Amino acid sequence: MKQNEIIESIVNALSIENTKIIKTSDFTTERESNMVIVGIDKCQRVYPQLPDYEYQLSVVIDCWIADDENAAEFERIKAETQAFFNEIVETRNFEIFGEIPVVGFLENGIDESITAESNRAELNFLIYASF
Amino acid sequence: MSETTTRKFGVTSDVTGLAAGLIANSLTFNKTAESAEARNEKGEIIDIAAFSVQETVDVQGVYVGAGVEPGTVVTIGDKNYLVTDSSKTESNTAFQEGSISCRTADNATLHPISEIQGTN
Repeated sequence: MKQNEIIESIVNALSIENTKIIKTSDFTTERESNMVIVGIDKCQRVYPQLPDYEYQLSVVIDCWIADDENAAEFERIKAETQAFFNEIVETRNFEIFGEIPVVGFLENGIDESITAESNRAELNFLIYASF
Repeated sequence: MSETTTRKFGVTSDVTGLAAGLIANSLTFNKTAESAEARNEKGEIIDIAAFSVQETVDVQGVYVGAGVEPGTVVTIGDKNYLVTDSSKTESNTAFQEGSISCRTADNATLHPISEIQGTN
């Protein structure tokens, strides 16, 4: 239910220097040092028979350690990504979603990890849309 | 989508009037109409008339500052209400939370306790 449109709205609106921002469905895109991958993990109807939906949005920031040994780039990209979404949460300004009737945007935690190759942070959000 | 059919999300009432004492997380608005009834000789109700509408609001939220005192007048949305009950919960595992109950009725003039007791 409009998941792809919601993800595209975010990918088109989010712009961070030296960072490739893609949708999860574009996994064949060539890997760059710093990536932000936007996807919706789950979509569910809030009430039976009413067209209100809750989307679990996942924004993964993944930066190669080899190109960023002190994690400065990772921290910068993470901070700018968080600032982008914080503004939506705090101002409740859903203009970036265009005609999609988003009515709520909530934070749902952040998970941070380190892999053999990269620093990674996953920002989780809940989006509510009422059609 | 017309206003009458749009479903709303979140707290949309203006709660800035409470912000010095309570950060509102949820509000419950209750309206009741008092009614009078007339019965016939058989005891059947033949008339029911509504004559007064009262509104109460129960607010729950995060306690800040000195809270909201009972007997004061608060503004929620575009109406004033008289606070009749106020509570605060302290827990060693959570932020302090508070709740208030307040009321108004018809076009009643609200008199805060400071006005009645002369303690301005």
